[in-house]
Amino acid sequence: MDATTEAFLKSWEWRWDVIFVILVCVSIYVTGWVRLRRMGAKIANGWRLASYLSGMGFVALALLSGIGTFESLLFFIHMIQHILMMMYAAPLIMLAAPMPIGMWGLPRPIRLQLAKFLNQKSPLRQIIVTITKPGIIWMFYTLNLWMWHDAEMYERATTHSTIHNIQHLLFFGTALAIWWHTTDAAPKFHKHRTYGKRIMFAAGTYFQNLLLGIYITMSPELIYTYYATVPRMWGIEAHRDQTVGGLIMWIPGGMMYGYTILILISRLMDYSEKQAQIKANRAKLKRQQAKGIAAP
Amino acid sequence: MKRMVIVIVLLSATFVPMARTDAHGLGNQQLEQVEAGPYLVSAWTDPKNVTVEDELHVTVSVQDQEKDFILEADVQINAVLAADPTITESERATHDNAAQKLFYEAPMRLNKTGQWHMTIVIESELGQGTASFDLAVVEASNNWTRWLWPAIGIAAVALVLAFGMYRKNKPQGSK
Repeated sequence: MDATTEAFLKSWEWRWDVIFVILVCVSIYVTGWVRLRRMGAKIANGWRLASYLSGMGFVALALLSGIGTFESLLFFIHMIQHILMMMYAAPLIMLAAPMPIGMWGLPRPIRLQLAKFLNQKSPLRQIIVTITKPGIIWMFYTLNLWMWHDAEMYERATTHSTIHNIQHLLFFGTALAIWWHTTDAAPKFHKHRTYGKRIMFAAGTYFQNLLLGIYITMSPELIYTYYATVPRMWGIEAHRDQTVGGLIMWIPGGMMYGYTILILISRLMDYSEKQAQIKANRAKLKRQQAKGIAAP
Repeated sequence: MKRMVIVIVLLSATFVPMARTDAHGLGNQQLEQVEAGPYLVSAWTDPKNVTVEDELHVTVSVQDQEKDFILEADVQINAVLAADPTITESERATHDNAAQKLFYEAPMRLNKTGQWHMTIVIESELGQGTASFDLAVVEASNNWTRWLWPAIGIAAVALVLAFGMYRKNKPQGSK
């Protein structure tokens, strides 16, 4: 292994703010999962726990490992970091039903209070429902993603820690909201999300991601000039680094949406088949009843 | 709840000695691949505006002329106050202090305001090289953001304690 790679692998940064938040979230989720499991609730199954822990593991990997420390030296590492958080951690966490399980990890008085705040008639819930409608979330996610990839905003975030942390929080927060709708995770505050609507939603998100990836990959100029000022690792020049970063955003970044669309189409086909089967059975039963073969 | 709080506090405490926050950025670039004897030297200082109260982080990248990183060098940072050259500070920069292990980093405290002359002295099998830059140190500002994280931490602890007290003092059987 060459010295640069070795240094990269050793460059873990133990940020207490990140570690603390991850520990609090994991403790609450695991406590809730254990409580529900003891009550025999089906929601607390093994794959959900694994999904949540893997999601949190990806967050830790993205923010604490060499990926987190070398993002300021290589653009493509920065893109890998964002993809780990937005395309891997966020869907895995949402698939684990963090809200209902996490609520059971809270002390009873807080849980009851929270349930009161979020009941169907509460104003807080109405506000949440309004501001998290799929169209609004999609627009906010897209604006946020494109805004931070503007050369000036990008440089500000890369050279200023507080702005950088805000950027990551917004990326992760909007990604959670996007995957909330795409995976149809609880809490189901919105009207029934059909497979068709979810496919359209995922495709819309995929499309804008694709455009941004292509734009960065194909750019003949160096957009992120900051990278020309830092020492280059592995001999990768700044423009090539940018092209690789754009490609990562374009292909692996979009792949997760691609898989999701395929899974949703397959579910939609299963669902349609079942519906057709039910319809056929009903028609058959009706015919038999008419002939007096089957009991009404 | 009590058990959960204890577990979180203990686990967090484990990380405190080796933990740091917000250090993934390099800070202000002071030198950009400057020739220093057989080396190309880049240097950054963090925070951006250095005050007498801040711990200053000086990060140094050392490369040879082929732009390969030199990882086995001895790197020393010397600081001299321009207005009074008898006031000096010196610190060895190491990989252990650096978040990015390709670089060398030294934590320093410059306790006097004014212009400081910073010299980086590098020694390795390739020979010796020096590079320098000037750094302004100003009076401590009344920057509220420096108290933000401690304030959030204290508020969180106070909230947990208040909740604990409330639970303890609540009459039995009341809901």
